Amino acid sequence: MFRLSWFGKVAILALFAVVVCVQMYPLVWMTISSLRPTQDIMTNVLGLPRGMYLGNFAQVFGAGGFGLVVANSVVVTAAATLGVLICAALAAYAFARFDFRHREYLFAFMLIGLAVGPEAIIIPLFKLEGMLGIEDTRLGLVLAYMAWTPFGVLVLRTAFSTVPRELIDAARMDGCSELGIFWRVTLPLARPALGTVGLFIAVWVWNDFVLPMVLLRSTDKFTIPKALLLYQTSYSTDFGVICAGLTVGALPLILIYCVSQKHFVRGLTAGAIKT
Amino acid sequence: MSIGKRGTRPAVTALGFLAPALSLYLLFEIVPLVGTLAISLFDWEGYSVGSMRFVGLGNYAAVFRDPVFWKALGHNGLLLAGMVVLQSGLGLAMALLLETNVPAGSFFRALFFLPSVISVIVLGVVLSIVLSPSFGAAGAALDALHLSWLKADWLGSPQVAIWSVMLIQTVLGFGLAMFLFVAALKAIPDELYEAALSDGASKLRRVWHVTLPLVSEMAVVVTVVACINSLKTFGLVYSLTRGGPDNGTVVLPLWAYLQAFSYNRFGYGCAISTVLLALTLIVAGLQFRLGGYGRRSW
Repeated sequence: MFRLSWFGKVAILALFAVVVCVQMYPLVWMTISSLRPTQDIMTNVLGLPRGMYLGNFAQVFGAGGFGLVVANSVVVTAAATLGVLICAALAAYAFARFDFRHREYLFAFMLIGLAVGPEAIIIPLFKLEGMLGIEDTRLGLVLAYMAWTPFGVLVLRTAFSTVPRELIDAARMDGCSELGIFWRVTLPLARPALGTVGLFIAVWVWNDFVLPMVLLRSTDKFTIPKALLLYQTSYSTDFGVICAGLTVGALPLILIYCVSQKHFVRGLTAGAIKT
Repeated sequence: MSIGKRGTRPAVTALGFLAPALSLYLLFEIVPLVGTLAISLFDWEGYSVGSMRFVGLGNYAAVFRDPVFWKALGHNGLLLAGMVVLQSGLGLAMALLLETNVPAGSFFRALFFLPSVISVIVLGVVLSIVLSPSFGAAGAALDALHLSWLKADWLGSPQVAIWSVMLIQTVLGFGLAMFLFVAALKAIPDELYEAALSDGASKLRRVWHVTLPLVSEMAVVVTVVACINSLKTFGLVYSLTRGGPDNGTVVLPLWAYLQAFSYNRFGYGCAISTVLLALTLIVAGLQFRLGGYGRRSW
C-alpha cells in the first residue's frame, strides 16, 4: 500500500481517465449510434442522438431476424451452462471424494481441455457432428459446449474438498446415498463456486463464435456472434443497424458483469492459479 | 479417504459420477483432438471418408513451404510478444497504481476489465467501423482533438494492420493481467512495506525490492496465460479484417480454418492446427511444471 500526495492522485486519475476513454470509446460510440439513423451518422459521425430513434432496432429485429437469433443464444447458453454445471459437479465430486487408481492422471488428462481451445479442433469436430447427424442443429452446438467441463471440474473439486468430513459422515450414518450426499450436502455448501463456474461458462458460450461459425449453416439457428458477422457484410454500410445488433449483443453481458463482479474476480484467480 | 456405499467399490461409484463429463469430454474434445492429428496425415477435400488419401507427412512438408503459414506464425509470434510485454506490462502498471490510495480505485478496476467480458466479435465489428479511414469515428475524434497527424489506414494497410491488432488487444485485454496482479499484490503483507519504510526505503525502491519479487510468481502465470491466449487469437482478427489486407493479419487458427472451409483442404488445415496444438501444449506443459493451470480465453 502506498500513500499518494494530492498531486499523485490527480496524475493517476488523469491517466486512468485517458485509458478509460480509449477503451470505452468504441462501445460508447456503438451505443449512441444504435439510436441514430444511419443518415445522421454519415453526416456527423460523432453526433449525439436526437430523441429516441428506435428504427435501427426495428430493422435488425424485423428484416434482420435478430429476435430468433437472440432466442437461439439464450436457449443454447442456458442449456449448455446447465449441462456443464451438472457434468462438472458430478465429476468434481468424484475427484474430491473418492480415492481411485490413477486419479491424478485422469484429473491432469481432463485439464488438457483448458489449454486446447476450440479453434484447434474444429475441423474434425465439424466432420464428427456430420457423422452423428447433429451438424447445423442447436443440439449439436450444446453437446459440443458440454465438453467444456475442465474449468468447472478444476474449480469445483477445490470447493467440494473443503466440505467438512464430519458432515458427510453424519449424512452417511443417516442412511444418505452417495448421490444424496452429493445433492443435499455438498452442492448447497458449494453454491458460490457453482455460481462462479456457471457465470464463466455462460459468458464463454454466449460470446463464442468459433463453434457456431463452423457448425451452423442455417440463419434460423445462428447465435448472436455468428449473426453479427453476417450483418457486418450484409448491412456493411448501414452502421445504425449494425450498431443496434452489437448493442443488443453486448448489453446483457455488461449488465451481468455489473451485478456479479465478485464472481468474476473469484473465477479469474481460480482459473489461472493452481488451487 | 472415503468409500462408496458398503459393498460397492469406490472406483465403480467414482466412475458413475465421472461418466457424463468424461464421455462428453472424450467425444467432443479428445476425439477431435486426435482427429486433427490423424487427418493431418491425409490429403482430403472433406466430403467422403473414402476419398481420403494417405500422404504421411506430406501436408507438413507443404505447410513448411507455404509462405502464408510462416506469415501467420510470425503474426502469432508478434501478438504473443505484444500480449506478454505490452498487455501484461500495462496490467502490472495499472495493478500497481490501483494498489495506492487513489480515489475510486475499485470503480476504475471494474471498468478496465469490462471490455474483457464482451464478445471479441462485438469489439472487432465495432472497431472495423470505428477505425475505417473514410468515415470512422476514431479519425473524426482525432481531427476534433487536433491530432490529425495520428490518423492512418489502421486496418487497411498491410504494414500497419497487425500492429493495430496488437494495440487493440493490449488496450482492450489488459484487464485479466491486471486482476491477477492485483490478487498477488493484495496477498503481500503490509508489515513488509512497513519494515522497508522503517529502513528508509523510497517508494520506488520499495516497489523494486519488495513488491516486484513477490509478484514474480504471478508474473509467470500471467505470461503463460498470455502465451496461450495469443495463440488462440482468431475472433478478433476475423471480425476486424478477415485476415487481410493481403494476409497482413492472418494468424494460425484463421489460416487453418480458411484452408479447410474455404479451400476444402481438410488435411492441410489439420496440419496447421497440429502445429498450433503443439505450440499450445508446449506452453501449457511449461505452465503445468511451473505450477499454474491454463484457462480458456474470453
